Amino acid sequence: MKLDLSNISKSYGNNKALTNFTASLEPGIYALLGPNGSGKSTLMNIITDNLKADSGIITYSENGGEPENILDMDVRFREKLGFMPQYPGMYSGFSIEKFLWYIAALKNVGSHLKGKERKKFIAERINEILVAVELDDVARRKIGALSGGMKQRLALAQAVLGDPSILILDEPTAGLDPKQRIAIRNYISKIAFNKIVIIATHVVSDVEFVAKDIIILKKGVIVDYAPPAQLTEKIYGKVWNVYTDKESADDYQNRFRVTNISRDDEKVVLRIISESKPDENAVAAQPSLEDYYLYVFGDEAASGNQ
Amino acid sequence: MLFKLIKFELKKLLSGTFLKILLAILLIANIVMCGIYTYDYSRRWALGDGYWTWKENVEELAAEYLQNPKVFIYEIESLEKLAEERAANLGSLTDEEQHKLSYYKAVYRSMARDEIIDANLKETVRYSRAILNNFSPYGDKNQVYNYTYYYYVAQIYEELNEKIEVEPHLVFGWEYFFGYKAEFMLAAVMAIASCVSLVLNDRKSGFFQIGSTCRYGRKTTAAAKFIAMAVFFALISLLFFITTLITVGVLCGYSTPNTPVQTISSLEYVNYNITITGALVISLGMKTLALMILGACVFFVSVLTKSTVLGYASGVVITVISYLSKDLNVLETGQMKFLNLWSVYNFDDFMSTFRSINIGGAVVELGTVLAVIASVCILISFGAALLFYATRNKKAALLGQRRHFITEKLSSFKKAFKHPLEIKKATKESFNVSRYRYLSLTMYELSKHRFMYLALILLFVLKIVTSVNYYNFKEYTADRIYKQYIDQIGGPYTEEKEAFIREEYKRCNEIAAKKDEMDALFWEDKIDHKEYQEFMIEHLTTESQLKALNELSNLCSYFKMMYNEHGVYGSFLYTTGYEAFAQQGVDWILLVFICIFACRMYLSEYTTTASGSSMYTLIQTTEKGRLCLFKNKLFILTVTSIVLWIIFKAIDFTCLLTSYEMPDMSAYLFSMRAYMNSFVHENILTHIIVITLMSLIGTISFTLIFLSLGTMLKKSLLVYSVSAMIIAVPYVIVNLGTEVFGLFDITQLYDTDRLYRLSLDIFSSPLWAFIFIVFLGAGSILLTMFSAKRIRRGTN
Repeated sequence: MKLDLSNISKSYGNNKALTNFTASLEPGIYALLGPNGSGKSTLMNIITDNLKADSGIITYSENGGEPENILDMDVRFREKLGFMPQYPGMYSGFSIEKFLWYIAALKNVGSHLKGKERKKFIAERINEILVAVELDDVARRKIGALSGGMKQRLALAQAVLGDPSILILDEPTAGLDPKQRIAIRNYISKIAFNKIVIIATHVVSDVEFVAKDIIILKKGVIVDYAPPAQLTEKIYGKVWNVYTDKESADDYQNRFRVTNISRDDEKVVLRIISESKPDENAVAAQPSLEDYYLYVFGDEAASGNQ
Repeated sequence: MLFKLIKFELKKLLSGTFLKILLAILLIANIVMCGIYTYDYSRRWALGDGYWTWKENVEELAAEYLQNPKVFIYEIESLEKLAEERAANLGSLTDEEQHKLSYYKAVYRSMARDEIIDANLKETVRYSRAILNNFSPYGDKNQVYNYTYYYYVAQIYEELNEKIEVEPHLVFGWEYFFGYKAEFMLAAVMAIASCVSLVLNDRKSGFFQIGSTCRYGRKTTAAAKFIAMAVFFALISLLFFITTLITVGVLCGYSTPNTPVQTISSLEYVNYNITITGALVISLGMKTLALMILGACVFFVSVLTKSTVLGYASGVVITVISYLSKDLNVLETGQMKFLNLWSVYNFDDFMSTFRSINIGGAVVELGTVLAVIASVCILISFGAALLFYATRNKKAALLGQRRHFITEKLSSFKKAFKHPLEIKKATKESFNVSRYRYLSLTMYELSKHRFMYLALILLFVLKIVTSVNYYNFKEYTADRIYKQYIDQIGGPYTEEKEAFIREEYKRCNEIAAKKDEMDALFWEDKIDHKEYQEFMIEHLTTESQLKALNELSNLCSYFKMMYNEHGVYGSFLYTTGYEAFAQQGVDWILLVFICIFACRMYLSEYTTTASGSSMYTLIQTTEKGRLCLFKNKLFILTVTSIVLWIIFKAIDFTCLLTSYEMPDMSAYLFSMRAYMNSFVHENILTHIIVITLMSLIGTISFTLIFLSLGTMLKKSLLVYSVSAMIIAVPYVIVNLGTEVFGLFDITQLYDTDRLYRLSLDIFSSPLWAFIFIVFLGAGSILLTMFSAKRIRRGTN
């Protein structure tokens, strides 16, 4: 199974949301990392045919067959698709359970079965998913009465309902508490076997340990595209821990890119990204993916902090 | 502080884009509708009897009257005498002479208002005094009430008659200002929307959580909102009042307002000595009062329930009930039927005469009752605002808890029994979520739009009441007499029937001519009272008989002309039922419902949530979320439209056939002059079936057009605006007098008989009507196919 994206571009007036995006995706988890406005959602919507690209082509092939344009495939491509949009709009008058049955009807889940067998299959599937996303005890609650986190989990549930081969998740853990984030991350990891999963996020920890490849997007352009380990390798020797006192900490913040501040007894520990050693007492630290993200998007991050 | 808060509340109302746009649209609609209502009369002056003339001519003649009223009256009397003489010789006035007579009489009626008002009021006083003898000031409550009522009426109108003095002048413009009634519905829409916004916008936006923690954020704010509502309603009333006043003024102009209001024919019996200016001021006050009562009720419901839907629903229900109750002809409610918001809003409904009700035998003026009801409504609503505005929605929370409690109990009950199809659960015990549901997209669509189907209940009530009211045949003497003749000569024309008509005409003229002679004989005691009375009874009906015979005589000439052209004779028919059928007009209830439902089909999917996404983003990525879903929606819409059409037609036909006779349906359609150019061998039954089926095609076409608009335009305001324009623009242009635009008036997809007759008038053939229907039907199908293609390809 392979999804090829070739030179995908999209502009909104004078604003280039995506420029010549090219990637070849095989089964595994791919993370699209980038700040707000980098083009992640635009790409998601183009892959799911919610948006038409200005140029470029997306093809799909499986079992070594001929690649086909997904637009020509039409229904056959949508059969394989599961999509969780960034801001899911759902019917507030439907209950969770009813909504999932509706999605099952739309996705033609269990089409290989008939009658009661099909309904049983769907019921089991819905049950399983609701337990996995921890919504089983509120299955009959109306969507309008759900909290933000519950709606997010429901959006994920409907995306995975049809056991799609291609799963597109736009900010799947937004609005979830740490325990739920870990649960969702683990769940995605578990179901990602033999699927192409594309996760768009700006929360690095969501994908650091599960993603096969990370695609870094900056203002619609691919900045980097590699496994997490390779990315962190690139900034090896550029991440430092500096132990200093409280008064000097401000000075370091003004002069360097400080990614973390913590306290160790009376000392302040600053994690700094710098091409050269910032201080004679600085100690080289093992870089993380977050460090790499901040290394790439340091200016935006800094302006965001201010 | 209260005044400051009132100011802020008003600013909030006026700064809202939705309310501003809504107000602008409603004011423009008011101008347009008032314009349509008035346009016909703006340059023309109705003379009665179907004649009219230009207003400039009437003004010339009015000047002639002022110069020498006696000469003017002499002209009228001469023409009337000539008409009598001609009638005695089986003749009548020429068209020109009849036109002149109507012309002179109309001007006289306007210029000699003082005499006419004097005569009418004197007659009222005389009648009231005479009827007093039938009642007693003692005895049961009804007797006492009726006695006191007529006593008051006599007294009031006698005093009024002494005070009223009217200078001879042409009265124009004011009857249309006071006669225009549609303003209430538009103002009511604005009042409901602004009231719900005022009460609930703070909660919706989340500001309430902040405001309610402030010192003046509860009771004071509630009071400020209530007062701001009153001020805003006064502003709305004023704006609608001014737009109506200006529209009628521009189109018709006004005569002097410094004249008693009784000079306006519809307000002849107003029991107060006020000028037209005074009536305008009172009218403005009553409009504001009506909106305040409506607003108080909506405010009350909104504050208690904290629900936008219920707030709007309460306003709509009250407005609809007001609209329906004004036409309570079928129930004996007496003056009580004027205690509705529609009548209160419209001066010439509520104030057109002395109105009172019987409370324990006492005559209580309706105005007093209204003041009491209004005060009670407003006080209760204000009290509710102070007490409940800032309370939490406890009831909703309680309901939620209760529901949760019940479902938990049910679930544990179910767990006690083994589920026939055991479902394996991944982890701990939890609710049994494996209820089987349906997999039909159609069922889910019905579920999504269940509120529209609930609204149908209200629609059916509205339809039944309006149909029962519309098809409410009142038999007048002239109708009865005409029918008696038709019963004798009904069926295809023959020469014997024409001879009968001539004989009857002669006989009636002889009776009419004999009246003076019989009067003289009676006064001279040459005949007794019994003989005179028998003659008078016979004489009373001769006018109606002569009118009927004149019509039948004209029909004979028409049938002979048609025979010369086509070789077949028409039939004498009693056509009242067919005329009622032909004048059904556009079924606005059905049209508006289909417009809203069809547009909403896709708009509900495109609606973005507060977070900025729509359900459609998800749906169109699924296997069946495009063409398949479109077909489902189309199926539901089409079936709903057809079923509704059948039910509404059934209601119409039931009411029509219950109230009217529709005899001899096998007669040729051209027997009715309006269908002169129809297909020669087309009979009435075929015609009814054909145009009924045409309206079915029209209904389906409308459904397809509105569905397509919803899929293509996607934004609610845009879709509904374009839909309204498609319907309204040709309709408005047609009603502005440009009849040829009627050929393109899309509302004729419902009013297919009018389309048919228009086609006959302009093209002397019904073919255009069929071409129009086929063309529009085909166009709507093509538009739907185009929409389906777009849906299939996905949105951009």
